[in-house]
Amino acid sequence: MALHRVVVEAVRKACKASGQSEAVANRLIAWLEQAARGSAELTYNADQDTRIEDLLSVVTARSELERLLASEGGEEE
Amino acid sequence: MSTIRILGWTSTGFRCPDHEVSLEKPSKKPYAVTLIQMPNGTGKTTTLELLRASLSGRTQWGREELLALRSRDQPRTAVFVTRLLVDEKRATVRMAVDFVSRSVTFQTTKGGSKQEGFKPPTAVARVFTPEFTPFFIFDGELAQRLLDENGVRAEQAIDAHFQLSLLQRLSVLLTTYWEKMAAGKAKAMTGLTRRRNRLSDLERRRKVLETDRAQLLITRDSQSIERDRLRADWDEAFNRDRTAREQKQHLDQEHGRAAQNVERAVIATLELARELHAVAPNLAAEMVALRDNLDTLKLPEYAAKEFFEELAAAESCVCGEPMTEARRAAVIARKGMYLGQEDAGVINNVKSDIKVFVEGQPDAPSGLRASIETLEGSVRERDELATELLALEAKRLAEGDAEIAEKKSRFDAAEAQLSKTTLRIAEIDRAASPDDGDDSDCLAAIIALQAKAEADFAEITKTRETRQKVGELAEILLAAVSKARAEVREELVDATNARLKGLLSLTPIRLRGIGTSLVLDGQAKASQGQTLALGYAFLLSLFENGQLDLPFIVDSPTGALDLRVRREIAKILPQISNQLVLFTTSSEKDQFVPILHAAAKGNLQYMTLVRLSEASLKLLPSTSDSTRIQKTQNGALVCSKRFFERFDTATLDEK
Repeated sequence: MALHRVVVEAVRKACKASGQSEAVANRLIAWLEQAARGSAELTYNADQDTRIEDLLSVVTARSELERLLASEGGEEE
Repeated sequence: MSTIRILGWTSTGFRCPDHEVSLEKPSKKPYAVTLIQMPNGTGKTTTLELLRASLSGRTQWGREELLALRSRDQPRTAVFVTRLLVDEKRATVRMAVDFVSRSVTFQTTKGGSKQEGFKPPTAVARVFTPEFTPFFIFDGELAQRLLDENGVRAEQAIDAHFQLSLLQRLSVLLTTYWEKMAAGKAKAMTGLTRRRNRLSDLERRRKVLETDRAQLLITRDSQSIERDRLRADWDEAFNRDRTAREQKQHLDQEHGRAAQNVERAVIATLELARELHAVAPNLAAEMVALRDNLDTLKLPEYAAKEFFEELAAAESCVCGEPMTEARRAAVIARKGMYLGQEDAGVINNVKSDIKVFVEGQPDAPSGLRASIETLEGSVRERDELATELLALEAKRLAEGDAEIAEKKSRFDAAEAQLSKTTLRIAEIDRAASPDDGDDSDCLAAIIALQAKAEADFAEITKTRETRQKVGELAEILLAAVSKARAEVREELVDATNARLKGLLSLTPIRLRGIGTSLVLDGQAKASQGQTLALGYAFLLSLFENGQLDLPFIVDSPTGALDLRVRREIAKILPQISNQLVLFTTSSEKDQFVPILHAAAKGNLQYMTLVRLSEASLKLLPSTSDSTRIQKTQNGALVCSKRFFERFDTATLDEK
């Protein structure tokens, strides 16, 4: 079963609103898609460390100022 | 989209008559619609309850609740088996109830393998839950509860059906990862500024030492040149007295020779001192004794391995116990753990070395002693010559020549400065020691401390960065849930209202929104009929938008609906699901079944389940065709449209 389009769109929008790259959205959606199809677990175990680290490698840790600016931008949107 | 079909079920020992229902056509495809007529008191509610329980893995029951399911015959156990088709793969869920111990257990069969417990296929796990099953095994009560803020949680059903729970689970997973990663690092999370400052201080200290060192090397070179120049001046002044010059030249030569003798004696003594038996005569005696003992024990010729082989062949063990087969086997199995050929080679080498180097050199200790004595003599001679040189210089100075005194003084001062600079460089260049702190003058120590501080700082920075990133993702997932939920609700409200408009044109109601439950526009409650229609309209919209093709099982599908709405519901029900299973009573047939038959285009089957009694036996068709009538010890299931249509509870009551 594929991930519902509403979920896919919501993840993309949320990533964009928080200033993250498309790579973050793509990785999140791929993981959720696999979970929806039953080919990936969503319960933590040490085997997932590599996948998590791969995901975190494309995430940008924003400064407080960047977060504030992003949230203001989101409100305007 | 995943497709889920119920192929049938078997019930034994429960309040409903024992029965086996098949929802499959001869072609093995399930009917689009199955109508199951069950007169009041036949256990319709029980059957629905069992279907919900078996498709949600329910094991927690109250005492009265569980006993209410028990057959009148009071059996100890009862079994309900549901057969499923999930994405064209068969699965079976077997629910067993022990009424005495009041326990409910499950067994799941998937892909031919049996597993204990409720283990539904992954594709349906999120909807085969106690919260969601009432949405596809539906009754009028659920429709009422959809409007009750404290009743069924429409919110949970939407989250499960639209996979929003996946986002929440991924967020929990990432948080768990962070917690595991940060476990034991709570202390490390504090003092980032302090660590950063320390790192800067060490960096600064290193630069200072490197600059100092470079400067000191230049200073040393110039001081060395100056010292040599002043030495030459002093020598020149000293040598103006011929006798003194000749004496000094002689003493210099002798002192140089004596210094070389010291050097040679040191090398020879150190070489001899490497032989431990020369340093400690007792050790030599012990080593010889060791070799003698090895000879006495015939080692390694009579190695332990061989010893154990002989022992295993003996009648009794060394401890006096008989050598049984078990003991023999144990001795043979473990003999390899002891001395083997390689070990024997090592022992032979040790013995040989003791013979050559210890026994073959009995004079080694006295040789070392002699060498030490030579060294002592050389040192003494060198020092005496140095003293003589100093005395000669002192004598020359004592003659009262002011120029000589000044040159000597300037030379000594230059020598002292050079020595100080050399010591300072040596301190910077020395090897690091564990006692060195952040203020050490040792460059190697500062470099090592800086590397460690950098690693500490990098780790804490990485940990903090990971926390920030996990936080970013958690916010994204939370925002996505919120966005998706709002969008899904809006779509569901619009779709439900569009359907309600067609269903209830005479008594319209509108859905205003979806909170934890459904919220009506301008009214808190609706009539029973309106509520049931709302339930259908909502579920139709829900199922249409989701990613699962679910069966839809309904108890009393027309309930309190008036005749006009019944007709409308009969038309739309086949749109809700590709597999409908409707539990009806005879009173619901009017204005419903014929229209449903037409809407389903004939792809439906009719069943009537009755409890066996004298009265019901008289009503049953007289046929031996087991495809049309299946009897159990307390019930009969008749698969016949004609019987379904003609069956009337009132007639049964009369009889």
